[in-house]
Amino acid sequence: MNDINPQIIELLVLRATEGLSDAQARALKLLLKEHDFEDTTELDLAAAAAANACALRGAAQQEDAPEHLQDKLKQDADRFFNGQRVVAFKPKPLPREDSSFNWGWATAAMLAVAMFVTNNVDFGSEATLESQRDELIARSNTTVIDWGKPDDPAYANVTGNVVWNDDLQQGYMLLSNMPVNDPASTQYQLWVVDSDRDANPVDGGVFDIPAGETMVIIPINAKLEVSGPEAFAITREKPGGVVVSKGPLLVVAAV
Amino acid sequence: MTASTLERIAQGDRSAVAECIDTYSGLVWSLSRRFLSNHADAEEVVQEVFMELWEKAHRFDSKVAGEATFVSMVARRRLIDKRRKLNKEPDSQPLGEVEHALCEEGQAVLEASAETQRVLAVLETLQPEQQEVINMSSWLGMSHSAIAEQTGIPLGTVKSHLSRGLHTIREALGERGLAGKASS
Repeated sequence: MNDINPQIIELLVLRATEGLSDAQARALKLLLKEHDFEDTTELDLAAAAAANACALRGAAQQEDAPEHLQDKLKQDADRFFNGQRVVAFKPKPLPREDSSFNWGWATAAMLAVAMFVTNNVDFGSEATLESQRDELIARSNTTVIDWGKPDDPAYANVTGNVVWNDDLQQGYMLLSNMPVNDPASTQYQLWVVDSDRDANPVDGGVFDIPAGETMVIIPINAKLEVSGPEAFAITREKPGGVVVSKGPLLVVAAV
Repeated sequence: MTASTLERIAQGDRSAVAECIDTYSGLVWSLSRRFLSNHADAEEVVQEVFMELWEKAHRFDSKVAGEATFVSMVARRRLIDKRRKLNKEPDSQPLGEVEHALCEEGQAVLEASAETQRVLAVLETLQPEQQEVINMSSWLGMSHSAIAEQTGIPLGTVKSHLSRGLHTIREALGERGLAGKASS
């Protein structure tokens, strides 16, 4: 044990207990290479074994996993093992009868095909967002608003919609052909114009569009309660976002 | 020797999939609820964990760790990542009032795990303060600094309790020492 670089031990313990920042992960990788030391999950397994033992020792109350969650897990597994991801992501009709109906079918189908082809390790979280968005659409009092035609030529091809439910304070943006941003220099920020608020629009959260993604689903993270939104708008801001935006509004969905 | 659930999944036995969900969803859910106070976040991570288990079932090696330990490791990694992204600490509660919720299925799995029983016995041999630090970190998902703040134990002592404790537990798991990982 004395032969091991103490920094490696410290970082392995940190990774096993509270995780590493990007810089710490890079430092660990460098140290492992420098000291010709094989990466190991032993301490991660030890932390997991400790968690299990502590859970058993301290069990005083019982909390069952929700039944609907177990159902979701079985549905996810069916999709995964049947290799029927296109079928699994068969889009549901949107609860409107205007042009957004057809648009919704077309874009969801494109998303399904894209996910089927890529088959990457993030499939699970993307599948979850897609299914969560579908579930929200199916709920009562959920509105679906298409993004309008952007004025800025750089955003002219952006399409998609916003799904929002006032009762649940939950929503998702679906964005197609949104230009990629470099998170180190700028990030996108969503704003919610609330008819019940006279002050500035509500911050809906910052987000990025990674390279290679033609269509993304992004959860809305409204920092304040929203009641009766009039519009959703996206601006491009400094990393981390701003409290009050000076615009311009790049993409807007007006209710 | 009978193959474990994950080994059977890796071999293509579809009947093991529902069994795996029935066996471990409670344990993973309990962990998620400890790390994330938001129900929706907790559910999302549980789904991600099982998707990762389907993808990585072939990586499970029963000679290295028990299945419940492997499942918890995958879950904890996801939860740690999620919490870092959310930039949140789990709810901080005074000692003695911390809820130790574990679902019925999760408890049954752990009781049946010889490995968990072995680690439990090892934990009992540690100093009470060290046991508490390990509990707060591994099960409650608290950061080192939050543990130090809540217990009044110096941060450096928290770190050394965790480091020594994890090494002791690793030895109880029967693996070779970390020194054996040096390839030179």
